[in-house]
Amino acid sequence: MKLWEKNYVLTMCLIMLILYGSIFLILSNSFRLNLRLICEQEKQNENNIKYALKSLLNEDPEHTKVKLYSEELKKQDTYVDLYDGQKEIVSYLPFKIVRENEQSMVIIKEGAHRYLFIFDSFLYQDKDEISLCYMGVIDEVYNNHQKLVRVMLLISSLITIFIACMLYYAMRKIYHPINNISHELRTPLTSIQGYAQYILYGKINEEDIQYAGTRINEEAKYINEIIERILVMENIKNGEIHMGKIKLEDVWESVKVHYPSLVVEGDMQYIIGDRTLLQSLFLNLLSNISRAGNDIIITASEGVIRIQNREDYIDPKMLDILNGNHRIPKERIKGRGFGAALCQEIASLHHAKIRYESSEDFGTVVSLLFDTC
Amino acid sequence: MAHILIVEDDKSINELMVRCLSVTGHECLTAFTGSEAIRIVEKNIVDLILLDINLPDVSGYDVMDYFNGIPVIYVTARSELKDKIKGLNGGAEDYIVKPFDFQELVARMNVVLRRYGKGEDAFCLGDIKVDLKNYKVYRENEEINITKQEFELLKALISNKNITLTREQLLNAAWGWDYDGDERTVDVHIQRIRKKLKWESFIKTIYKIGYRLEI
Repeated sequence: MKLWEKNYVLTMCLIMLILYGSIFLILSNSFRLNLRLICEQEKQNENNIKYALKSLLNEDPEHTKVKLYSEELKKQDTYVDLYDGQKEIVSYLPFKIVRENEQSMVIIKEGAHRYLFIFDSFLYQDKDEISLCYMGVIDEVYNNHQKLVRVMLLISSLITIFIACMLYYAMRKIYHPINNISHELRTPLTSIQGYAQYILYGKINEEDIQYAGTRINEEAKYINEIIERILVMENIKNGEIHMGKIKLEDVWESVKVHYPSLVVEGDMQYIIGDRTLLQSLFLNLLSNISRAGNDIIITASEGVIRIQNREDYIDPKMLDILNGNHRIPKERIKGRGFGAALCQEIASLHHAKIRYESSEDFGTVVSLLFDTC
Repeated sequence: MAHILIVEDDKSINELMVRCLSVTGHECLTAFTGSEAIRIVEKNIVDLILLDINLPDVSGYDVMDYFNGIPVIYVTARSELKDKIKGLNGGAEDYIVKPFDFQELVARMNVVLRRYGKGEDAFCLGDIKVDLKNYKVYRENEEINITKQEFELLKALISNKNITLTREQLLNAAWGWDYDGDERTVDVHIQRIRKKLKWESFIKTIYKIGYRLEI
């Protein structure tokens, strides 16, 4: 597992811990509150019933009204037992429980239902103590809680999946350039290390030393070039660009330092853009197109800059990849892996499109089509 | 001496490997693409192939099938475990990640060549013949008494001829990684070898580094 993948798993675990932990806390608190609320409601109900029963007992010593009232309550899923000392007055509880430690309220699960038992008493004719056992069904609060748990789990799962996907793509996006850059740096580093060891440990003559030194110097320059490109790309991403009217002749002059045999034609004088980025764009395009030879002609006219190398040829598959702005497969990268991507980024920043054309007849042509010139 | 085919599209690294391997006495053939490598293998004797994975035309993995029976060592910038596993499962003898130490490359190549019976059995220099297989040294067919450590040092110098070996490397080669002795022990043994074989002019002292067998 790569380091970024480990970090990803760790971050996801942390996010899930926080997310599910918070949901658990919210749900348990909300359940506790709801339970307290329903208990208070049931207690209020019990109190009302208690006073009703007390007055019915006073009115009707035969307890007929009490029984009728209790039966009515039963129909509403409310059950009561009344005891005068040890003597039963009414008993409608579906099952009995033993009261422990003088508790006044207890929740019992029986079958699929949950019941709230309230134990109470009152004085009958101001002398006999009547015990009341009240039982209410409180399934609703549990059912609601279960529904809420299911909904919250579903929502949090969706949130987790969303975060997981976003985080994965974000982290992969960060990691990939690093991976490409490290891959890109390995080649010149191999040369530098290898030629240094060749000088240090090999039995070589002055000419070999000269050659190895030149190679080390060139590869070091290439590493510098890579670093500069990284900085340019970083500037693009940070939006540190300075757009302005650029004289094309100045751009060609600076490019010609690297490509002295470059031929420039056309009547286009100015271009709107960032000088450094444009210079980098042309240098990259020229670097990519000049592999097979340096016979390059640039034609700039009517908002189109064409760079043509008659000796270069790109195979149709690669042409499709370049024109489709797809990521170049690793095995097809020739040395300068992210040059094409950099060109695309700079071009799109200047509202320009890059079109690659290639055939064995006319070689390779890269056209830069500018919207505003 | 073995015939090594270097398949590497980067000209600078290709040239580097040719130079380094030529110094150690190997004969090198070079290819910059997979198809070029296949053509060379068909027409030439090749004892070992150093193969890059990222080639311009095909992947290094794809050309493996065309190198029937020839040992292959991958030399690549791909450092991920899945690439190493794919390479080694695909039939490669070894997998070296860039940037590599060229003495390590030579050492690993020698191991593979020995495994395939293409390593040197004997080494001759002047009137001295070193029987690398039987750990014996002869001067004009007369055996010279040489200790195990001296022979190991000699072997290391022969395997890396024209390459400087540090005292530490020589110490490790002759006494093993766990030996806790002074690096100067190497100097004493090298003096003895020079004296016994009369190789004063061949075994060069490289100032502040180590020794090199120059031929």
